[in-house]
Amino acid sequence: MNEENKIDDWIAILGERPLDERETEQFRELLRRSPDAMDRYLDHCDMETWLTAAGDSLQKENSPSGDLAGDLVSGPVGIYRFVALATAAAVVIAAVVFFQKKPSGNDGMKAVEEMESSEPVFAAVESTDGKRDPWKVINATGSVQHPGLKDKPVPAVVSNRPVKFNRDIRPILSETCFHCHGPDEHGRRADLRLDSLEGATSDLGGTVAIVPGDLEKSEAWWRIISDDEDELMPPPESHLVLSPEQKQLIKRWIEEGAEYEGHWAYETPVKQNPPEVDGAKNEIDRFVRARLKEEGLEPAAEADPRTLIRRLTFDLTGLPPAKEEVDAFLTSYQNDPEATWRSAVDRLLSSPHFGERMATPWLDQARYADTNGYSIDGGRHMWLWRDWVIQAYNDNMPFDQFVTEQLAGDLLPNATPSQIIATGFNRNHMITHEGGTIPQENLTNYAADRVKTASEVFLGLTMACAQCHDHKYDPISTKEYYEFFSFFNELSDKGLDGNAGVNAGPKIMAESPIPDHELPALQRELDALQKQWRETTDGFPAWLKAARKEEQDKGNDFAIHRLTTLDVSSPNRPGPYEILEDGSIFVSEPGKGLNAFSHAFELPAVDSVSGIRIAFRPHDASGELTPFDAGVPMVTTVLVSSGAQPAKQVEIYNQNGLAKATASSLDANFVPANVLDERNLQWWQPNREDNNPHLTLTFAEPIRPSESPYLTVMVFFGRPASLPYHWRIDGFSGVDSDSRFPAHISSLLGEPEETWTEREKDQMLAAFRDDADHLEPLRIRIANLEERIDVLTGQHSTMVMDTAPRPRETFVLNRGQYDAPMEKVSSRTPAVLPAFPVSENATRLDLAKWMTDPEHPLTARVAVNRLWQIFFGTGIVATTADFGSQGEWPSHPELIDWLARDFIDSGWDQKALIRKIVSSATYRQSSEETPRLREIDPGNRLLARGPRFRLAAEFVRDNALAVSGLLVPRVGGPSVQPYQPPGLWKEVSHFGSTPATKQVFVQDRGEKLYRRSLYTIVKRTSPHPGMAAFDAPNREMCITERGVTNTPLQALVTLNDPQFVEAARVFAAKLLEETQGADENERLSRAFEWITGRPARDAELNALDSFLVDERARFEKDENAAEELIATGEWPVNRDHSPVEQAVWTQVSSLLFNLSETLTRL
Amino acid sequence: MPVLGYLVRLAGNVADARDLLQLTNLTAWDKRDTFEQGTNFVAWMRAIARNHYRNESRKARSRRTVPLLDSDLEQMVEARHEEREKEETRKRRLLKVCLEKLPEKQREAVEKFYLEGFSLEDVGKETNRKVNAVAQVLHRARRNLIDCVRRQSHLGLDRDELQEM
Repeated sequence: MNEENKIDDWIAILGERPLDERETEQFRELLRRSPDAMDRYLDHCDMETWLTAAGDSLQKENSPSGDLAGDLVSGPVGIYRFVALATAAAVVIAAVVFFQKKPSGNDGMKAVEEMESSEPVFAAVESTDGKRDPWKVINATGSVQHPGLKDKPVPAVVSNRPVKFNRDIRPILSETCFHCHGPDEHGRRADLRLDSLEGATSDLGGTVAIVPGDLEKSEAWWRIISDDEDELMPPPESHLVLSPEQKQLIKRWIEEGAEYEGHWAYETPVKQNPPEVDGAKNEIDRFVRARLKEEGLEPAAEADPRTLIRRLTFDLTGLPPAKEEVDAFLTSYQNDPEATWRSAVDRLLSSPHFGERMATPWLDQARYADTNGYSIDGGRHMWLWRDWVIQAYNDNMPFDQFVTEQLAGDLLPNATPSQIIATGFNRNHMITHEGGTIPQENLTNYAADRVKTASEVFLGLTMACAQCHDHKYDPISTKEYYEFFSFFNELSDKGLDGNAGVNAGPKIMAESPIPDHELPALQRELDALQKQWRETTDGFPAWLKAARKEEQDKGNDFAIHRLTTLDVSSPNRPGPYEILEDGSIFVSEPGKGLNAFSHAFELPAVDSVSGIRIAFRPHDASGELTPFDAGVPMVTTVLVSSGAQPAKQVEIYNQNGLAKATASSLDANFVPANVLDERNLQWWQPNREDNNPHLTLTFAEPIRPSESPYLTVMVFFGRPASLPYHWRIDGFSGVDSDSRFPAHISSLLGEPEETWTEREKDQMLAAFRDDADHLEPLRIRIANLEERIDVLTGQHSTMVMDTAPRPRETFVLNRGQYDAPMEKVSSRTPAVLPAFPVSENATRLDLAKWMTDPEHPLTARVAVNRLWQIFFGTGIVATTADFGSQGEWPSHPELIDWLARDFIDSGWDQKALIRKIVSSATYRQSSEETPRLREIDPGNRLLARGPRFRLAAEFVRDNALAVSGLLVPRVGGPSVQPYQPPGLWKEVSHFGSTPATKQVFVQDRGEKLYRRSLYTIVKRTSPHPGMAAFDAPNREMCITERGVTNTPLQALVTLNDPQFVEAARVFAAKLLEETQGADENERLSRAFEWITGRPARDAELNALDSFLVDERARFEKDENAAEELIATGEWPVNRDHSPVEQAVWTQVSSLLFNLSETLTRL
Repeated sequence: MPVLGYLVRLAGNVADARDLLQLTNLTAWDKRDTFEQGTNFVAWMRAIARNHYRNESRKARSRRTVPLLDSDLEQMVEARHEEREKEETRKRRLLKVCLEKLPEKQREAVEKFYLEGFSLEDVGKETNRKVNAVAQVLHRARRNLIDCVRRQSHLGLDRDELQEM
């Protein structure tokens, strides 16, 4: 049906004018490929012909006009007569030459059969008239329908201000007229352009659309007020409508002279003198209050100091203020508010957490992630770039330098590693290495992403809209799109790259820009702990006793059970394989790549099965276990599930845990326990001499075949050249006959301590230190410290930009298709913006210089607007990524221009601008809303009150960690993997069939669970659910503004997510500790104040109190539940207070963490 | 009409087709002696028509620089037209019914423009509208007629089939 509509449109155009070359080709293409289009075309031709012929013949007959139906009266006129007559009517010559008869009679048309039809056919046909022309319809009615703008339009008192084109008229014209009467030549109808004075006032065959000052002569006016649907503009089928207010505005505008203005954002900002007002603390207030006065509104009073310090701390660091900081602030503020405020601002701006806070929205704009995206979504390493961003903010790097280094750091003279790291900005996009994708297409997509990101982030231009056709609203042609694209297309990246956790080129190894002040302390702690670990003998006797017992129990009631093999499968290409009679798997030619095998078994009818043993056999002929040089199988992991139904694949949400892994032998670092980690990083392989190796896995819980007769086992040979010829999997009951200790330890355990040599004693102690459970936290701590030291001192990989020795050429791509290049272009910027000074061989550095030129109209305004948005929730221009024709006219145009100019004049100093913003009275207003304000200005665009909005996702979690004391404040470093539900990654990833990393989630331990949330790993295809619940984006594309949703899922997170429950129980223990001896009420008050920052009201205390009573009753009846609750998370359980008491106060804390007030930055 | 129809299919609009038909007629008159009696008259006329169409395209009037269809497409269009000819008769018969079902404004415009031979400007004057508004009305009228004829002919098809059973 689409194609028919297209033909209708072409016919309509053909009725007005001929098609040009490009259109003709499109039209022909349509006819060639679509039979429906061909038929529709012929329908049109036939109809025209019939009607014309009928008319001609009737005219020749001088038939009486009027009753058309009568003229078509049926009569015995044969078809050939009709044809003859019609032809005769048109071709007199033919009649003379061929036909001797002269046409006669009234009947010019052949008989029309009267069809009885009760169906109101034309009613149906009429409705098809409203059939949408897809290419003509913009899904909007009225003006400026940007998502989100509808919710927060800028209120204005329309009637008494003079009409200003850019504010009042341009948005209307852009939305309702430009699609057909705008800058795009190909969509243009009736040759009319309304986007320029010249176009609007030109004489088109006697009519002029707009005659300045003369409404009567302005055809456009008549059209928009017409009640004739064939004349009405915009036409009904466009589904666009002008509201009465908009028509009024247009009328006034025409009457007042139809003044056109150049688009405001393309003209250099001008610093006007701020108006004089009372109570202003700085220029921001002057502009804001002057506007309020215009609207007849009063600014709000200042917020109370508690609110202020909390607001300021969250805004500048993303963390709540510590109790001491609040107290100090309150005291000082009473005496000298301005000095106190200034010093608080200074303190917070110099905190390293400031950089973390500012990096958070920048990561959204730069679409930072820790994985490559697309389908395989394997891991990558870009955290060095994140470190660069954090440090840049902390160093208060001037914004022009910030832009330049990210766009072109590699091109700066004597570029430092830090400057090169910065260019990772243009490498954050998604990439793929997947075979079957087309490298050329991928490279096109990557560059297109860079264009979209750079233009939206730095220039507020939606250049991506011009990828396939000229921009419909802004003066950006497709050719100019590709000229811009050309800047980002000259690097040496490949179309397929980035597998196996290795960064795609170009890349460098470099040190992190984060300062290493903590090194001495780290080193000291590490030395101490290592010493402790090397020397500790605490708990050795108990461990030894348990280990000896384990050795003794080895093999108790051990019995092997044959399983029935139902099915075997492998996702990759393992080579031909078969199931032999004895149920074993034989692979005649094992494949070289990694391979996973899934086996479905039926269990024998025994009482219980404790685990499985995988036994490998050599090839009969060669005697080898594998055809590869290593000569041994390598198993990276084993997964098991069981159930009442047979399953070909392991149920990842219902896996059987594995308690122990042992083997007949092991080789150096390749111990059986490695198999218990589901990643491919480590594996088990047997000793070379072991001819019949086996690997034994004991389930955490034995399986009862009577309940779960079916077993599924996935064995992952996750290394290249690791697949063996032949293996069988058996079940066993009883205790594993192998020891989980290395051979020499195992034998020592069988002998009395007195017989050990000194060396043997040391070996045993070493085994103890590696194995003892109670030393696990120590081991984890040491590992984390060693890692942190390496982060600060070592060299790490990161992706960067470069210039290829022979850079790719850029062409305009027909309709954006990678395989349809047209004319070649070179790097340049759109003509509507200030002239680009470099005519040949322009580079990204030239682009950066051009962007940061002090006269550039966009860069500073956009940057200032983004900063404003951070502190006020909405920018001065709400459409923060679109400063073009479809974007919003600024709510305070003089203010944004003044700030932009000032920003540049100050040397692009971001901290200075932030300081100015937060020092203003406007920022410090109370955020309470009055009913009147809600009615007039629900979006608070006029800033008659302070800003209030929910905390960003990262800060919600940071808040809980900070208040509970769990937060580890280290800055920078690689991403971490705190708690999340298991199995999420496996479900969407290519686990089991790819060497890509980050396919299976393994939780981190120790302090890595409590880092700030901007370090939480971002896996594009499976973002952290707790973050996503609070609107954190998945970083597939750049985002300049997060949505703010309000859903029960958020409460589920704050009340149930282990991270929050753990924070609550740790806070509860701390509370009990610090309020010993206090009464319940006192304790409740303290908890409330600690978490929300203010004292509780009586009503609130009463509510909490009755909640407390209920919870206490509940837990006293069920101590197990209390134990379970306070054991949430890995933090050691507090044993100084009763579990019931802790559980009760955990619940209270949980409730307080979930308050709307706690989650909102007021 | 076969020639007119042919020209409409080549040119994509009836105004150009009519102009070309005039030229075709003149040429055919001039060259009438070259027509061999007993051969296909319509084919002879069409050949003349096609030449005129090609010539006019080449003159690059206003912005047109290429003909609407290329030679392969011309053949495809004609082939499809022939396939449809059988149905054409039935559909043409439905024209009357469908004309009657047009909304008043559209029917009036069709009558004036096609059947009474008014120009667009004249129709505009008569109905107090601008030329391109009239063109729009006619465009909608034609679409309605096409869709109506198609629907009716499907209904008719069922009936014919039933009658044959």
